[in-house]
Amino acid sequence: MSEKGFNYKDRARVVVVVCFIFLIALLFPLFSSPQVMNLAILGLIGAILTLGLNVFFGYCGQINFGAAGFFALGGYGVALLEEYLKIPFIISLPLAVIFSGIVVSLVSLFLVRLRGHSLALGTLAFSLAVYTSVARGFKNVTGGEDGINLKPLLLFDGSPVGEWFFYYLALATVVACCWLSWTLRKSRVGRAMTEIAQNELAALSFGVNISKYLRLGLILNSLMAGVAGGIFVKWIGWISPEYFGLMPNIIIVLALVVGGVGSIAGAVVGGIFIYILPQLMIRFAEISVLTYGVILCLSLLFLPRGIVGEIFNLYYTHRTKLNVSQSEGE
Amino acid sequence: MSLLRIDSVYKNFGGLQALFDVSMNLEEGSISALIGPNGSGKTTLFNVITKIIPHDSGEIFFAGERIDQLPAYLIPARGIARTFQIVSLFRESLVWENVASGAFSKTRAGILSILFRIPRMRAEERRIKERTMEIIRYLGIEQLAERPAGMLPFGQQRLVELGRALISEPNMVLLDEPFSGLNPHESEILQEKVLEIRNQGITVLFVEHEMKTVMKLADRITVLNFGQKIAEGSPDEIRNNPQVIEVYLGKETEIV
Repeated sequence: MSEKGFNYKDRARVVVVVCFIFLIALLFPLFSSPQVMNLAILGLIGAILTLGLNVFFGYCGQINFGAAGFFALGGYGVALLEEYLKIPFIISLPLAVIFSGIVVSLVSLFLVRLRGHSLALGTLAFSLAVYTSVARGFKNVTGGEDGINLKPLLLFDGSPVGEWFFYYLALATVVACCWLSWTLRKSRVGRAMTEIAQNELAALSFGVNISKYLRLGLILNSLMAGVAGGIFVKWIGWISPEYFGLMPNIIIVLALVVGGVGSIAGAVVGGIFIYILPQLMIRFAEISVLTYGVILCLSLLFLPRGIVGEIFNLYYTHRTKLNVSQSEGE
Repeated sequence: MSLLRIDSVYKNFGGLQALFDVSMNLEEGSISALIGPNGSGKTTLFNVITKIIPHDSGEIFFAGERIDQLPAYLIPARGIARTFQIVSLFRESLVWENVASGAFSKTRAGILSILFRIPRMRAEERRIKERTMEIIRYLGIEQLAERPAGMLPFGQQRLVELGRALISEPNMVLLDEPFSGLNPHESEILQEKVLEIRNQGITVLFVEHEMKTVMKLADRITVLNFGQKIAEGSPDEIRNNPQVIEVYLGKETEIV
């Protein structure tokens, strides 16, 4: 009997693989040059962003083209708190995340009334509104296109922190987001979210307050993206609207689709892959948009479940075949 | 004692009268059937009771409390559960997750207790899982618990829907054509379950076209035609009601 589901053997294998990858990630700074480290930090920040989107897009099943707007809220939160109030990073980061959550909890009141194409446009409009505000509207405060320079983060002895600090900070955040996504998915609230994605009427009939849980999904998305934004600006030491325009929104969605929608591992793999890729082919920078298009087409054609989804599928098919040939041999 | 009281409910879809002055009383612990030709407003009435669609006027009381002004997501917590005419499972979720989703209104864990996995939340989750497995064993589908619900044969999907309605220990279940599309054997099993449900004290209201089933199960029958109630009574009264015979059962037909 071949079950297309997880059994205890599978679970054990997953635990071993995850622990192995985590160990490599922990030891990674020991044998990496600063360039490679910076690449890894970028990849991890991409993974946080994609994990955030996975809660709203993957679990709640609602499209969101505004994740870069959440990213900007976190980033500008940290930058403005430091620039005007001299608040240290360790305090400004959580404050910025809370700020991002509060803004999105208000905007979500309107956004969760939309579905499908309207929601895609609504979230995109929110993101572009954030972009326009920081680039033009509040130019005096945010520095407009010139951006804001941030001071480097200092250790206790006054020397600037190395790449390792941001690497471990981003890694810890990725692990925390994975853990939160996992425990959410296994809970009644996570189940309610996936039920909304599949059949809103049935979910409503069994007591799920649809707009409440969609708002919750969007807020969780914004909290994760806000952390990513805060870490990002402090790491590169500069913030400007160019990181939060139209294209970054699309890249986050692309990362999740390529990795595997609704899968935690898929979000991590897709996020790291899509964010590192342009840095690897920096020589062909002018065709990077084209590359994204090609990747999206190829993955939709050949990997409709995303990289991770297809790997799991291959594994299941393989195991089913094994089981069939074994039972035939008996 | 009457559990559900519907008082003169109206519902128009544009110019179409879906429900016109419909009143109904459901005795606690009874099985009632709702019959009528296609488009006579049976499913609309179900949707109005569960607030999936708003009604135009009229009042609905459940266990003495007025429920027609509550939002739809609070109805299950009052003790009303339902199944759908078109099977509406969460097709990609596992069978046990589908059944567990019926208990949503009976569980409390909020987002913070979930993200921090506090012991009370974990105990609640364990309790849901145990209760889910009880229901799944009761329905005789325990070997399918870890399958995606959409992969099940149709008859078993109907059973999962029933399980999802029963897990919250409701006072009343609304079954919308529960037997349609089932083979005689599956239908027999489900009819047994419906009788068992009633014997546990749960009030049942169901829609069905097969008169043999209706006559066998129902204590009371309500007949709708073009959104109006044209008859109400015991199976014997309905069987001999000339108006019912004319609009629904067909003229000069021997009824079993």
